[in-house]
Amino acid sequence: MRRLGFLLGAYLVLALLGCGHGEPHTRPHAVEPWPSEAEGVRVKGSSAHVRILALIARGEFAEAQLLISEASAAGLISKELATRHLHRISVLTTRLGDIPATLQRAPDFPSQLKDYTLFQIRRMLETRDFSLATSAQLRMAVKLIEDQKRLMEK
Amino acid sequence: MDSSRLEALLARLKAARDAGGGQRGNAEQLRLHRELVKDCPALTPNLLALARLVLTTEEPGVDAEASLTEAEGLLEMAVQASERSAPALLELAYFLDDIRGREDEALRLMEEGAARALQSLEDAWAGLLLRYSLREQLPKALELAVRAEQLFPASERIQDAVQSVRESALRAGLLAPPRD
Repeated sequence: MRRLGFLLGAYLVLALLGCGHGEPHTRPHAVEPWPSEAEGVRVKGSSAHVRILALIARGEFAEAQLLISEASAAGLISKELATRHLHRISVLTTRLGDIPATLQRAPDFPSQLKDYTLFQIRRMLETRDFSLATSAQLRMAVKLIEDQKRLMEK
Repeated sequence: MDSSRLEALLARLKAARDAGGGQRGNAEQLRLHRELVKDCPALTPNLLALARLVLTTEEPGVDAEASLTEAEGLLEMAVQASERSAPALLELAYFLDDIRGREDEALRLMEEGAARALQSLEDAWAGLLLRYSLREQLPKALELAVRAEQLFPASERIQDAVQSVRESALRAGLLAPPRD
C-alpha cells in the first residue's frame, strides 16, 4: 500500500502537469469494458462497472478497490469481474523494478524508470512527458511489464 | 521405430520441468534442460522452456548478455526445429522486441505466428463442426458455427461445415425455416 500512496501522489503531480493529449482509446492496452461482462451487468450494475473503469483509468486505485468490494458485496458486479478489475490494478501498480532481474539487464533497459509503475509510465507516454525517458524507453518499459507475466506463467 | 527412445527423452523433459518445483530456475533444473538440448536439439518444448527459464532467472556468476544470447539462440533453434510453428515464432517475437528493441521484426513474426495459428483454428473448427453435428450436439455446433462464420467469412471449408450443421439443425427443428 506504500506504493499505492506514492502512486496517488505522483498521479496528482502528473494530472497537474499533463492534460492527456494521447489517444488512450486507441491504445492497445487501454482498459476496455469486457464484452461478455458488459452484457451481463448492463441491467443492474453497469454504472458501478463504468465507475470502476473510470477510477482505474484515472489511477485512483484505492477508490477503485473500495468500489469494487462494495459493488461486489452488493451483487452489482460478478465475482469474476471484481477479480479482473483487481488483477488489472495489480498490473498497473507493478513497478518496472519488479520484473525479473535478467530482463532488467537488457542492453537498453531504462533503469531510471525502475521505481515507476506501469500506470505512471503509460501516463508519461500519453502526456508526451519525455523528461525522464525517451518515447522508445517508455514503450520498452510498458512492454516489459505487460509481457513478463507470460514468461513466468509457462 | 524406436519409440522407447522418444519416451526416454520426454521423461527427461518432465524430470527437468519437475526439478523446478522447489525453486524455479535452480542450477539442477537448468543443467537438466541444457543437457537435453545437447542430446536432442530438435525437441522444441525443451528449447522454449529453457529459453524462458534463462530469461527469468539470475544465474550467479553469469553475465546478463551471455544469458540473453543463450536465450536468443535457443529461440532461433526452436523456430527452425519446429518449422516455424506459432508458439516458437511468438516466443522469439516477444524476445526480439522486449529485449532487443526490434519491434518491426517482432511484428512480422507475430503476424506470421497469428496466421499459422489461424490455419490450425480453421482446421480444428471445420473438424469440430462436422463431428458435433454427427454426434447430434446441435446447440453446441450452432454456437460454434456463428463464431466460425465471423472469424472465417471467406473460408470455403468453414462455409461448408456451417452449412451442413444448419441443414441438420433445420431437420431437427432447432432452427426456424427461412421465411419464403
